[in-house]
Amino acid sequence: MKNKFTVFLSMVLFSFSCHQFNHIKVNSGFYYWKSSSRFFDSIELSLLHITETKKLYIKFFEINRDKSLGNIPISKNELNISYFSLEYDNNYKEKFFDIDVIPTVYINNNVFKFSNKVELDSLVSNTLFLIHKKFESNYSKIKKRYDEIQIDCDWTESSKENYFYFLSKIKSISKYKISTTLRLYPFKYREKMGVPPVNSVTLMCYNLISPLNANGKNSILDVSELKSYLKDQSKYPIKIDIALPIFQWYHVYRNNEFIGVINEFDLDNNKTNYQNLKENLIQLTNNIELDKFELFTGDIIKIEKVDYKLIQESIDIIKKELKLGNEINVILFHLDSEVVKHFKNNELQNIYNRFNS
Amino acid sequence: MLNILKIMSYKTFIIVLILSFRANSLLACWYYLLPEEKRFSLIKPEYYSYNDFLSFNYNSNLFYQLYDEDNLKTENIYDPNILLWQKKINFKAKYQDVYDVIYSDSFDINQSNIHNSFVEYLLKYNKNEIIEYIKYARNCNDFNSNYDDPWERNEHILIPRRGEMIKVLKNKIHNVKDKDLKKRYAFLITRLMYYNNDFAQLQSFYQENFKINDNKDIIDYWALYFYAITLKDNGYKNYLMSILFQKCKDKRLAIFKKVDNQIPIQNALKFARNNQEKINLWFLYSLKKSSFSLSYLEKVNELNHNSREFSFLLLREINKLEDQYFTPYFTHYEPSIIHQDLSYIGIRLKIKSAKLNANKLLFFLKKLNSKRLENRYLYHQALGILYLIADSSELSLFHLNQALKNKSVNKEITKQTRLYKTLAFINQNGILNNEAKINIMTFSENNLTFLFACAKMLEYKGNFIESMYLLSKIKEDMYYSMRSYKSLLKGIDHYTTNYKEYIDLRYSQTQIQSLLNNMNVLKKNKYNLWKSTEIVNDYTYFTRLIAVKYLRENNLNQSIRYFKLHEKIQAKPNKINKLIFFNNFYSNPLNSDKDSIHYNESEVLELLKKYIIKSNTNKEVNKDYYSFLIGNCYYNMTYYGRNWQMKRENWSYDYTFTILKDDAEYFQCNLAKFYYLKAYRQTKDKKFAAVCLRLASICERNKIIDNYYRNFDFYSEINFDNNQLDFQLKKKFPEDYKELKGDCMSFYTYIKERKLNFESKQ
Repeated sequence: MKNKFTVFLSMVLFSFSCHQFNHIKVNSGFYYWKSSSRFFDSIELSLLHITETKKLYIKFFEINRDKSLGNIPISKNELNISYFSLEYDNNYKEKFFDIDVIPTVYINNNVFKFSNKVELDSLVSNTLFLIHKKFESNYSKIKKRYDEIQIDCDWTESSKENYFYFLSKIKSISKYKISTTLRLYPFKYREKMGVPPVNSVTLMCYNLISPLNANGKNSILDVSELKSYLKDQSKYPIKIDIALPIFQWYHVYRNNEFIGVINEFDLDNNKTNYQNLKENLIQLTNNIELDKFELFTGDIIKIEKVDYKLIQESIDIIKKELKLGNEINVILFHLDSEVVKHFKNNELQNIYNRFNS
Repeated sequence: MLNILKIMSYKTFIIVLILSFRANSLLACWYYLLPEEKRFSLIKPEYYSYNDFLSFNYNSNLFYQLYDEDNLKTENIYDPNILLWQKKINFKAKYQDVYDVIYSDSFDINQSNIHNSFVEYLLKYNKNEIIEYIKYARNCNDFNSNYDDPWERNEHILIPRRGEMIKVLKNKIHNVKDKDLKKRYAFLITRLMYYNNDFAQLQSFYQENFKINDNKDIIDYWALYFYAITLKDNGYKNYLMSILFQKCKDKRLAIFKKVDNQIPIQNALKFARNNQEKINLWFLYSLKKSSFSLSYLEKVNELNHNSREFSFLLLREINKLEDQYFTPYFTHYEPSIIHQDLSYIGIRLKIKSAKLNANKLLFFLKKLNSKRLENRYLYHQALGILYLIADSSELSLFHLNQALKNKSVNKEITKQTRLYKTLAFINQNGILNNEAKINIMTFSENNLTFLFACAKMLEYKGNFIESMYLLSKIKEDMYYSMRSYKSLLKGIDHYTTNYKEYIDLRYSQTQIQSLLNNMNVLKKNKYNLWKSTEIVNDYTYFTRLIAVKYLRENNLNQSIRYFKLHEKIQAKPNKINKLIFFNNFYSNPLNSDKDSIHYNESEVLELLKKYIIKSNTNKEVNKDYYSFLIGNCYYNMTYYGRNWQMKRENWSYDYTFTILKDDAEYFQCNLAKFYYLKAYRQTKDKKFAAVCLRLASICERNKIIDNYYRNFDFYSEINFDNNQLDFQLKKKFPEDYKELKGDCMSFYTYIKERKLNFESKQ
């Protein structure tokens, strides 16, 4: 409901603005961030078809720093496009093989905080090796071999030097185009945070507010917060693509205090463990053990979503405030049949189109 | 970012930490305080002589079991394996040289021209068996992992290779003559068997090769570790772990993790052969507890009055009480570690519970004979802190002074005692004596926790002026985000890292005036100069703040008076645009010819006061228009207006409540509504009446929004259908309703005529 207020406020603040836009080429894209699924389900595959997805940024693996093993890959993606089920429409399948797959690797900032240059050199080699291996084994049917790698890291000032060293190295050794994700903070405070030495960046237009400080606002995406980051910024020195959220998450409250956010909670399989308080709000009637932690009876879970209208407003702000190039990739986070079911197909399609409306 | 689960900087782990959850299951983004950042602690255990237990100091990193060992302090100790090697060659090689040969990844023993005293010794005396062993052992190191091949460069080869290596090693045991090397080879086999998950073979191999004897060295214990963790009898396993915990200082953290304190201690105690082994078990079980653990202290003390373990556990309980009592007492944050039993109670009850625990510990300590304890200094220091929690300042000071009589302790420990002595003195007297002033000046620069505690203690004792001085020393680098005490009463958490905002939230205009008066007569001595260095620069801020606070109370006379005083001493006082008397929603944005007129804040309020008089004058023909102008002015001084700066320091898109007295007015626009309705009733101009009612209904809408958020409970929807003024507008002005509701710009056309009429009569 805070959203309504935000919308209201935004309307007041922005209602007299005039927008003029040039036509730009928009490449539709999705992130694929699941680790455990071995294949796309039918909804996911049909969505790629309907939205005419050009680019699929697939998280191949994550890299973390292990006390004894050093920098190691974890949460490796199990996806293998050879596992397409027979019931899929052949047309979908064939079209899918035309998509650009961009191997994407999330790297924990600790890797850059604690690695020396020798370890980083080795990391470059290992990363390229594993990407190559995964691509060859799981994506060999894709017609076009990858020519871009995306690196995702929430770097800090202290890790900037190592992170940028890694990016330079992986760019020069691989000869691929290298892109990175860019949160709004380093976008706004670019002098302090630096500009990554890559071919392009993908600006993540979400996770703007702490769930703790959300105060009823939508912590995934809030237009006023988004505007405050984008407003009055000069053109970013390298090409910018846009990432937008379509996911949901779950805020957990205990004893009227916010205690955390969970990413996955299977509502259907837990029907006997909660009661509905109202729309988007449930209260647990039993303790539930999720992976390695517990939710307790009485906990209230708020389901937080991003709706179509909110994304539309955000796109308008992005178009107004950002100096975008003639061609951009617009990437939705993330492709998951559970996540996308909250959107109508035409809404997802219109998200991409709105950049040219 | 994308990986929502990983986007968080490490600060966001707080959520994970709070619940002992794993990072990959919970997420959040943004920054809030880590448990260790908010934990109150003046007693730093690393300065005491228990650094062999350093990793087990009371700290949230240990208990929330993230096992991010980078966050745990560990003791720098000599590696017992390296010492054993040195001993074997009669200390003919340097420690670091041996270390490099045994452990360093980059060291290549096959390289010629190595300048290493250990290698040189081995070559010189033809210690070929040792050289061969080291080469093989280094090779084995690569196989000590359950995660065989993370980068997938050589898949699935470790298990059969380990099997081959075990065969080779068994041959080596037979062939090698040196008994020590036989044992070392046997250890390598034990470890490889463990990583190959071959537990049954491991256990029989261990029994055959590591017979129990009294001359065990570190290799025996390392082998025992791998043997113990494969045992199914958890009681016996815990018992063995307690022995290993004492014997293997270098592996304590790993051993600690393997202890399962869900197994009743009696199941392990039955294996203990003497009191020390029982102490070891009670000690280890106690380390596993994050909550109050008096019963463990009692047991350890019962078994040995004079043990180091007792002293360390006491130190730990003091750290716990600092966290459980002082963290919420001074900061109103939850303790860094919240025991499950207390997770549902509020902060006040948590403080009360911690105080009860402190009293229990106090009662227990008082019964002890301090002369028989291993650490008498700590005993008195602990009593000093516990008496402070118990609010017995005199006894607190007595015991802290007793501790300070001992001049032989580390000066850091003495310092910590002096910090508590300062707090105890403030608690007793509510003022600072010379000793306290010196302590604060000396120690606060590097200890904002202490400075903050002194400020809060002075505040609690009613010495708000001195408290404000100390808070000003913290400035923007506040150790803690301040959270107003009052805010808790209202159930609103209001954080600020700005001391001026805190003073605004916490203190009245009279109290702030007292501060200014005090600043004017402050004697120039070292302490006063120190404490006022920063605050004097904010003098004019406070003079204006007093005026603002009166304005928030709608006390125009006093506010005008103080704005005038402020404007006299402020070189560039704030200027307010004339448009404060007009409203955003209808003022013609193109009509800028009059926009350049600016008033001082006092002038605005004088004008407002004048308009109020006119609006209340029956004979005044324009009284309706004056009421309307007043409404505009009040509206503009709210969250929604262009002159919110008259009442607030900051504005945010966040709809953030404060505990300021006029918070409701600021968000609900009640004064504006009152005067819009008054104008509506007073006017004879129908169009003008319609717009006044519409503006009042906008204020009403703001009130509905505010009430909704103020009573936000998840259970209700915001409901604008209850806007009675909107109903009234629709009913009385049906033909204008749509236009007035549709576009704010249309307001101007409704006001235009009345405005021209008013201006013509001026």
